[in-house]
Amino acid sequence: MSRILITNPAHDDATRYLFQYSKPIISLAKSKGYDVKEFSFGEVKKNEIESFILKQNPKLIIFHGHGSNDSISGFEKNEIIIKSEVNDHILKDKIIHSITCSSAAILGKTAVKKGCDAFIGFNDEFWCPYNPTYMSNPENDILAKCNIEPLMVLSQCLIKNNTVKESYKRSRDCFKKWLDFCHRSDAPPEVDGVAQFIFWNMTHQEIIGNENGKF
Amino acid sequence: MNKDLKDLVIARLDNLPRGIKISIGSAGSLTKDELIKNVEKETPIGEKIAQIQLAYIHSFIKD
Repeated sequence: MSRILITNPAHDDATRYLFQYSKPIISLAKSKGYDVKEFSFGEVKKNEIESFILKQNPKLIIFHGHGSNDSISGFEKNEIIIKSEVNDHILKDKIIHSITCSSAAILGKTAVKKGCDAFIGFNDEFWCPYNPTYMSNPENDILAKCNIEPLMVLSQCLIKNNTVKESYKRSRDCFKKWLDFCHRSDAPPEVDGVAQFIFWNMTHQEIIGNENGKF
Repeated sequence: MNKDLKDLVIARLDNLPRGIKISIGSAGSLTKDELIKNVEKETPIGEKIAQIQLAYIHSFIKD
């Protein structure tokens, strides 16, 4: 059975939002019969993640967390779980959707050089506006939804066996839908000024590797 | 940062909704006022927000 790994450190506002948004993704994957392993909160440690990847060989990995040009973090930003030229070789033959800042800039490229099938992520910082009063129900926070929904669309498309290229395109279409929404004359005042971040995030999401790859 | 650009960026940030926070990865989450202070002091975050705004504005300019 094909396996999926999802990390959800959920240790600050942004990662708690991703934790909430990923629940339907996990439900979708389970409904399709996939073996889904979620590491959450303090479980998102380098040793645990490395060990799972090496022993269980998930084909699709969705990283939610913080990142830098050459790394992805786990629970707390100092816990580096994947680092370029250190353990990026363990991503060999896998499709990676990295919902973290900047990790496509260097880590994605070195991972693909070492055999990672495809790496989709941001090549610069991911800027996510949100309204903290929605912390207990982030799915109702339209500010965050404008930027997070396109990422969830990408994960969903991968789980539904679309190619990396098609999944990326649908994510970009979703970003464009929200851009158009923010540009409308009747857009709600809650989204004033938010389009600049949608545009930034849309134009800094990148595919590295095999665009025709499928989960 | 050019003064005109700084004034433009601050004016546009001031237009963001009240109560908004913006997560900037591992740099944490900043309020609108904190973002404006970063622009005023020309910190790396302030420079980046100017870059974001310029990229967005340029997207409306046809070649």
